[in-house]
Amino acid sequence: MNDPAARPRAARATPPSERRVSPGWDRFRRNRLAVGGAVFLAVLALACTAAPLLTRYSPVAMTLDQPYRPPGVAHPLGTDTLGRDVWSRIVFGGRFDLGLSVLAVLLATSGGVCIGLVSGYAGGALDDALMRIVDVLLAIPDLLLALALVAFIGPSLTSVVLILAFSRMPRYARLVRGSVLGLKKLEFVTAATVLGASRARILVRHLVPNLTGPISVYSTLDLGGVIAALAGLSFVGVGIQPPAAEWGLMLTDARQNLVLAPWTAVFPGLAITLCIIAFNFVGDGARDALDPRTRRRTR
Amino acid sequence: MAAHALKRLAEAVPTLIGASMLVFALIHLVPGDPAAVYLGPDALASDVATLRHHLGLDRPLAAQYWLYLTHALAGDLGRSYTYKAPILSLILGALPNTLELSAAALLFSLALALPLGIAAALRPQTALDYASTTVAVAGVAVPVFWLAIMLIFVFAVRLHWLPASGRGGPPWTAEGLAHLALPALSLGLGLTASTARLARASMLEVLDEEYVRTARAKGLRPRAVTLHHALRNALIPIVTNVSLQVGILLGGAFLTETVFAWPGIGRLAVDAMVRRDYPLLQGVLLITIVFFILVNLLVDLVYPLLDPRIR
Repeated sequence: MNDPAARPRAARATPPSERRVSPGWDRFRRNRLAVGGAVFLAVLALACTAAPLLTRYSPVAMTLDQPYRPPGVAHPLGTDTLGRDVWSRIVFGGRFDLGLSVLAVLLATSGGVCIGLVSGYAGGALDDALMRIVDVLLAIPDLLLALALVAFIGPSLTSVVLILAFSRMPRYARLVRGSVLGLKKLEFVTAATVLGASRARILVRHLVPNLTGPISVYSTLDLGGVIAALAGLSFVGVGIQPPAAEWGLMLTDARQNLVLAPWTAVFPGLAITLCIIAFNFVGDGARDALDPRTRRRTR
Repeated sequence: MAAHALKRLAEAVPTLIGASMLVFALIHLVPGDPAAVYLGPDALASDVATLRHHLGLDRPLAAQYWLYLTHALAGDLGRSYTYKAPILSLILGALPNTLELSAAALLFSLALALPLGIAAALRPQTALDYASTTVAVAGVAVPVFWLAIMLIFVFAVRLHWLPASGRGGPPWTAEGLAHLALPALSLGLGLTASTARLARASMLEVLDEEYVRTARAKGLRPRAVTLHHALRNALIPIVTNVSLQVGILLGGAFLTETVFAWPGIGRLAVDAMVRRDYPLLQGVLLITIVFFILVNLLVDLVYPLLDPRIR
């Protein structure tokens, strides 16, 4: 069994259906927290997509004769000061919070990957110039940067998403550049260069595939932060604008009516928190799955 | 040592210039004419022109920036139109309150996180470890403004133990401390989580080191080994982390101060946002960013003193 020569034979002996499962996916599947987080997010995303099927009430229509109803049969999570159904506002609000955060992270990732690739691979003056800019942006706390930009540009759906993406992008650029610097010294890149592959081909076919692991882990972990930032922007009035249903915005209303309707403050906050925890679990799980070394080190 | 300090100082200069350019440029991101937006739709054209001139918006861009930079360096950040006062004095009036809140939050988080993290590292895989990890996981995930609202609900609305908003005076008075408690708790808990996790990981790593084994083998008491040999070295990454946390504190202060009506620069900025007082907002941002950059610089300079291996 311990004979190293026996190993490849054993591998060949496994049936093809089992061989296709990658060891990373296998490790992820065995991580209960990560799977739990992924299931929670999938169910929530489904609920938000199918929101009209899950509630009889509009998320924005006011029923002024039914304000301050505590959670009960008619309204499972109660109603707010304007008689709006809280459950309905949660599932419709998730479309903003989950949808826009995912969009913002995708944009931040693509932008950061482009900048990082170019900067890390080209080196020289271009790298210096790009990294100077990144340094300045990294020197500003990201929530502050986002707040500042939205305050001046003005909050619209588009500007909020773009600004959230922009405020995160420098970190992605740094991360990618660092990885590229390491990768481009490796032999397979040299080999590709010698074989006459163009720069674009080396970037896209040789470097990007090796970056997907760390980048997707970072993006997943970052999603929690982006959800909190989006809700925070809305909470101080420069994110999603009323009367839309959005979790941070719901908390702004709730804060003013804490005495009469405390439940309106509980559920949106819980939704944000659970999403962040879930993204963290999935991200941690993915990192451990892709890089088993980290797991052993942190125990 | 001195060379390292000078190099870091020199590196901070372009960052500071870049940040000042960014803050300066913000006013030009306002869609349309900032002066017109600022004065509202009913403003007279002559008033808009006067304000444009006053804000320097009628000059070439480079000249505007030069003016902005030289004035800012001389301590002149302009006047706030909504408060009818010099911006610098408004900021200097609010800054100590933000620093008080941030320092209280930081102290609270360290006082809670260090024992929690160390205890978890000394007894890994026990109930204590799991409990502290759970607190850490939850603490990272709870948004500061929601925590603030929940704390107000429990301790102010229901129990009537602590006031819900405002600042009660200096923190050494009972009234001041009572008003400080909830904001500091809200702002501090998020930091507690990350510090506790870091303290645990860092302690675990250090406890594995040869010098800890040597100290134990010498027959030193476990407490002496933990405190003098392990903790001292485990603290190094935690100190670095504190400098990163200043950024989280400053960002979080905007939200916390809004919830608690705490009279700091965060609330000043949110006020300025709502009233479209762009020069005031620029001023607050400039001061905050410069402060953040300087704190990071300071930590970098102190770092080699803590860890001679860095040199």
